[in-house]
Amino acid sequence: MKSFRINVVFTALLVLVASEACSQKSFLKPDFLALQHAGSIGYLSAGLGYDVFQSRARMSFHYGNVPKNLGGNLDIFTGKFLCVPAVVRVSELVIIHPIDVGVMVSYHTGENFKSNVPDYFESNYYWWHTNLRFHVAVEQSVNVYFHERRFHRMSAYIEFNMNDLYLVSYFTNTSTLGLDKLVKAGIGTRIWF
Amino acid sequence: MTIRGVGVALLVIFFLVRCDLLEYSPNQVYDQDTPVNLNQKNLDKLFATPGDDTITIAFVGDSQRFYEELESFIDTANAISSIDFVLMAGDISDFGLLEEFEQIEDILSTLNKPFISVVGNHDVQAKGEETFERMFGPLNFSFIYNKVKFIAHNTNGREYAPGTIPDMAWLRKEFSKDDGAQYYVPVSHIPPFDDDFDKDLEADYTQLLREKKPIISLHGHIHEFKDGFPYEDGVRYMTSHSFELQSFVLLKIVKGKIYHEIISY
Repeated sequence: MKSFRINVVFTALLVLVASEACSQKSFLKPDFLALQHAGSIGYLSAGLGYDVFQSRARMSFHYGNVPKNLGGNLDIFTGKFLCVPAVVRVSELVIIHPIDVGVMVSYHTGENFKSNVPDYFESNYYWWHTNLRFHVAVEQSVNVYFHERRFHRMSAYIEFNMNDLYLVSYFTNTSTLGLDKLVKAGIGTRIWF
Repeated sequence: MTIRGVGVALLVIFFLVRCDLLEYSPNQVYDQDTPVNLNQKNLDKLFATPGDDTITIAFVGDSQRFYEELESFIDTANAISSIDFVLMAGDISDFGLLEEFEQIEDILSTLNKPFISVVGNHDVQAKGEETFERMFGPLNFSFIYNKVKFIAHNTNGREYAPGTIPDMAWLRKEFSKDDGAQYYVPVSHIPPFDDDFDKDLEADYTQLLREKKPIISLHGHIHEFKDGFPYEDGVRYMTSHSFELQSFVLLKIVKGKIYHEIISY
């Protein structure tokens, strides 16, 4: 529960920073705030992000938590970079992103997670780092624009991801393991300001 | 249109939840349908079957990422009606991730006999130890079947502070209980002669086995079958093939005597 409270406080802080940033013109001013449920980066996560390359891609940074009573306690920091290869304009104010694709890097903190192993293990004994996961991600979203408003755009998205260790398991067992078990999903919303 | 949209969104969320797609983290200890206490549940199944003079065990090594081989093993083991139970000598998973444990359990659930699992060093990576404990049960446990006491325990010493694992006090207690056991069979993942066993405890451990004279000491970890007396002290140690070698040890215990054959699949 403690971490869940930290998560709520952190989210509130992000909203505060976002609103503050909104009122200033700055290179560092984030373009959007994201709130997400699941998607391998926390039961609940919050992040700030930027549209880059003339909005053909976006990057964001998230903090998420899994409370103890839901299989944690886990604290996760994540960076995402997704490209927007196509958009479908439904109306003047509604745009669908049919398939944004990209990568994520998630970092788990805490004593159970390590970036290296003690010296007495030969190199590559445990070839992966337990604290770092690399994911491929695909996202679909509906974006609604609000003209002349402080929060001028909002999106609802569903994101599918698969991490590096699941990929290794899948490619060494293609006839046994189904992608349906290894691809994971999250849902979220982004608010542009 | 709006009501339809909300309806579709709710259906999508329902589908995601039902299909276990909404993962909070690959390292989460459990999710909504993770099985619990599998070792005890399987022991209950074992004790519910009438035993006889012969205990027949499919003694298998590391399953790790060998899912396809595990399926072939199950086909073979299911066809051998004399097998009382399957004994898995640790490293059920490769990365200690919940999804792996659940996949393996999903495949193992097609076995037509009980399976008992001990913990391996790969199983305790990241949050794996908590996942294993919740799913399978305590890391150190014992059971008596037809007067043979199987003492399953954690020997993944290099994953813990030196001098702490295996838990020698617990082991001594298990060997000393007045519980009607006639024969002892210690079972653990890392054998004492392997480099990954805590070298601070190797002498104590092998001395205890020397004193208690188990009929055999069973292990995994080294991925191949070995059978012998490495300390030349009368204590017999056996390891089983891991799944990639598509073979396992069919072990029979008859009145304290050990018989074995290698079954390939």
